[in-house]
Amino acid sequence: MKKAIFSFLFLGLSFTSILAQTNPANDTVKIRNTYMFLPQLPTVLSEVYFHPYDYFTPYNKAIVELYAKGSSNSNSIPTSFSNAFVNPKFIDNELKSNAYDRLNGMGRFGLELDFGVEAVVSPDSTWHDNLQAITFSAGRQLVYGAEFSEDLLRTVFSGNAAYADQTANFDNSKLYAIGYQYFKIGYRKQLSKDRFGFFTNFGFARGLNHTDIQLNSGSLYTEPSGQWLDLAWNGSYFTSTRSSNRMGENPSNGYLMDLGFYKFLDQKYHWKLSASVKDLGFITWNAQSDNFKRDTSFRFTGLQFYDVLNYDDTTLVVGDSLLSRLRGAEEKASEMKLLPFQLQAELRYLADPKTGRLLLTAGARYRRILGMRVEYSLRGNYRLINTKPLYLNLGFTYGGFGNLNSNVGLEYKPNRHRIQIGTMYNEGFISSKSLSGNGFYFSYMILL
Amino acid sequence: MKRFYKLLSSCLLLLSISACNNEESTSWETELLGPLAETRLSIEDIIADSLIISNPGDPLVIKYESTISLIPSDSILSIPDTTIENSYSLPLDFNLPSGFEVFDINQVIRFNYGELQLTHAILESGSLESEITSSLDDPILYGYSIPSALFSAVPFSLINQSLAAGSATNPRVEQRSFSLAGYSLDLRGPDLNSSNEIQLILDAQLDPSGDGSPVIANVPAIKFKNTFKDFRPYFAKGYLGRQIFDNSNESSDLGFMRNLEGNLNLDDATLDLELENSIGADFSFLVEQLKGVRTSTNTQVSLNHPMIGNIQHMGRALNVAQDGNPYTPVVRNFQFNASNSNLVQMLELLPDQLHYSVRAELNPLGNISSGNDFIYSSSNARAKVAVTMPLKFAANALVFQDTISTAGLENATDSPVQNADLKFFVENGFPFDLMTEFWLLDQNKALIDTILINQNIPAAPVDADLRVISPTKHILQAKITPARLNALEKTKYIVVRVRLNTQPENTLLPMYADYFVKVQLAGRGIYTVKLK
Repeated sequence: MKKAIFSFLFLGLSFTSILAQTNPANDTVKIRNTYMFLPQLPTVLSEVYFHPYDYFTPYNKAIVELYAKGSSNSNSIPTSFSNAFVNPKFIDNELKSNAYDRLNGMGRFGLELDFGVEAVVSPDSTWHDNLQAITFSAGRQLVYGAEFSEDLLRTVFSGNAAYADQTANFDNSKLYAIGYQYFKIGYRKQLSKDRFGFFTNFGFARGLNHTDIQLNSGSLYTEPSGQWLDLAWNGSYFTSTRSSNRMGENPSNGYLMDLGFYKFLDQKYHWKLSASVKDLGFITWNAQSDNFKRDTSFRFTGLQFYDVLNYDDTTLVVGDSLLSRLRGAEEKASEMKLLPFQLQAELRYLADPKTGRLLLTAGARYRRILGMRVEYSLRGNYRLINTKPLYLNLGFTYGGFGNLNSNVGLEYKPNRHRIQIGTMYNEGFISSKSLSGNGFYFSYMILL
Repeated sequence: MKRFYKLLSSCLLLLSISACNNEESTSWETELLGPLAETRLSIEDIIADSLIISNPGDPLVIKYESTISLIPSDSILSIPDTTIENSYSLPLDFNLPSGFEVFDINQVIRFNYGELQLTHAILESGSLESEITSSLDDPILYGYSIPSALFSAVPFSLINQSLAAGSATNPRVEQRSFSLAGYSLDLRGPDLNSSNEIQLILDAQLDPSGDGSPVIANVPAIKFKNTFKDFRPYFAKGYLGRQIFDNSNESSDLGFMRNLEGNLNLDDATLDLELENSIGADFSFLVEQLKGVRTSTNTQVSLNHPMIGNIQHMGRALNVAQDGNPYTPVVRNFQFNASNSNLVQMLELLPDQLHYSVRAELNPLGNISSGNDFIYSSSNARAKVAVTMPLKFAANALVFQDTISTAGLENATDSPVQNADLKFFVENGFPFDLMTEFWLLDQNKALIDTILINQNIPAAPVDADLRVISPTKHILQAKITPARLNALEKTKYIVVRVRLNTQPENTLLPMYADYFVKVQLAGRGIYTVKLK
């Protein structure tokens, strides 16, 4: 328990800082528009519910944010199903049926977990006046993605008995999983007041684990009485070893960078266009990684016992095991692999310029993960009470690993603090049939 | 500010508790259908390759060979350790002058080798353990030698050895060990006309440069103790004595035969017995009785053959090198077969014990070689036994039964498979019906479950030449149930019973190398996947 709390406190939360405009004469609206780095924040703020105006006073030299967010999404796997893996429980036939019923073609499932800490520092008035800052960030990113045929899903969760005398088709099924830590240092600047800004980060990535299995074609035939299984697969297999995540021992390291910009398009409605790419880079996984390609088929007739009468011996000689037949000879090789970088673009619009209570944002996001499509989003940020800094975030997404979905959250930011909490996807919020996926975000920010 | 910290702390605590409080595993049930295991057995898997003679197209033949030494190892040349002690003392107190010669002994030692009268020996191993004790105040100069112990023609000799001064209250003691391996011993004594004798020369004097030493009355001033230890000759010559090796009413256990019961008819069997004498002495051999005993039925069959009950005389080996051995042995051969013995009947009894009375005698006529017997360390009287049996038999309810001890199938009741239908797909390529049963016994050997009871696997049909035409195929079925898993967890012994009935009945059927039985196990059951 202590370890869990410690990890959550020091690794599980990240912080993002926002440099405020140092000109105290600016009015409220002006202050909103001169926030330099809000559009490109790589975390909760920019990706989900970003509300860029009247957060802070413009006198801060640094802002620190701790954040954590995690989400799963699928076009077929209900959240109640995937939650059984997060909060372990028995997956009954009803849960399976819900998943099978939703499948129409290839199934997709994705999971993203990001937590870390970020600081933006503008150390003196010169930096403030020039609207520039340096940033430091460290965090941990876990990304899983899978594409699978209905036969594969049914075989894994219901077994192959239903496929007696049939061939289950696993073509084009894929599994991708990666975990890495990042340490970044960056520079941010607004080139001309209120109009254009950019940021860039460079960093070091330490690979923790990586699995990349691609099944170009695959099939399983089950003989009616179970006397043999005909397996065939064509594809590639990569998985890193556990030693990848041990410090100083066969490390798997790499480098990454972030790039982004924003542009204010008008003064009245504060139209703002922003775009960024995050975690563009690679990790060279160590030479202990299992790494091979196969185009093979074989008939499995059971484990071969060659010396079955020698039962007095402590070990029976087991011949070709299923795993070794599937995998073939062990092959290990180092390989440089791209990180699952993320592209994001947003267009923001202040819907009620007189009161400034409603902000609308449309965006698109794509992460380079197997099975993920472009995710489109539309969200609104509304100040609930004029006299209190309490905001409601509400939005919709479409695409990604899933289909149409919704999200909701609250934001509260008195004085030098801000806390955000909310959901990423809300399965069942509108329709349990069409929405799948679940997630959360949490952020705490302090201005120093 | 405090309210925010409280809120943050509450959130963290809630998340931590929710993450840690769930001890259930993610799990689901799948219904699996597929092969589990497969094995293929032929005669060569059942009987060791070394016992089988397999010629393409011919029936298999079993040949069992064993060599027995008729004389226990080292029993002829069993040489005990011999210790010689010499001491010097005076009946009254006396002062010995410096340089005084305490010892000058030329001693003939006679070894007590019983009936053995050895004249020569070359040692493979052995040592001389020497201990000298002095209570004299002066150092001692000493030496000893064995003139008839030669190594590369050089006698064993130690001269000008020195022992530091001792005292009556604190004697000086020195122990030394000298290997005599490779030494040639002439045991004929100083006059070269005796046996088991060796000459030892020993001398000792006070150091001439010393001051002299007092001797206390009746207290040994010097003691020598020499032990000839662990003598094992590579070669010995002389008279080896008239020795009798009597093995009456002995038995040899054939425990593996106890696993078989029923009726077995064999076509033929031959036992070749080769007696070899590689000792340079005459030898006689008498098999008084040899019988097979089936203890479970208390039945027995005595083997009949002209050699049984008659003394067989073997001449002496020649001391001439042959085939890498330093000697040329004398060999005699005997054969037991269906025409001159009842060997087949004895084997058909399925004996689990062999009872025998065997008597062997060395030099039965005494010392007729005038002391020219010889023996090497590798010499013996050996019996080489070879049983040859065409694997052609008829079996009627022949049962092989064995009991396997097991620790129990650990955590069987927690098995991810609680219910399953198992099928054994059997291809039988042997010309006999097979019925295999498994009995599960608890720690008190009480029966708690049975598997595959009364499920017969039909024999493969044979043609007019009594050769299998094609294997038969048969499916045996068993179930895995929670009750059976519970029984498996309690199982401490598994009795395996295999019953054979050759088909056609009462027909002697030859077995071929390509006969086999193939068993494939497939199952259909609910498997619970549990993620840890």
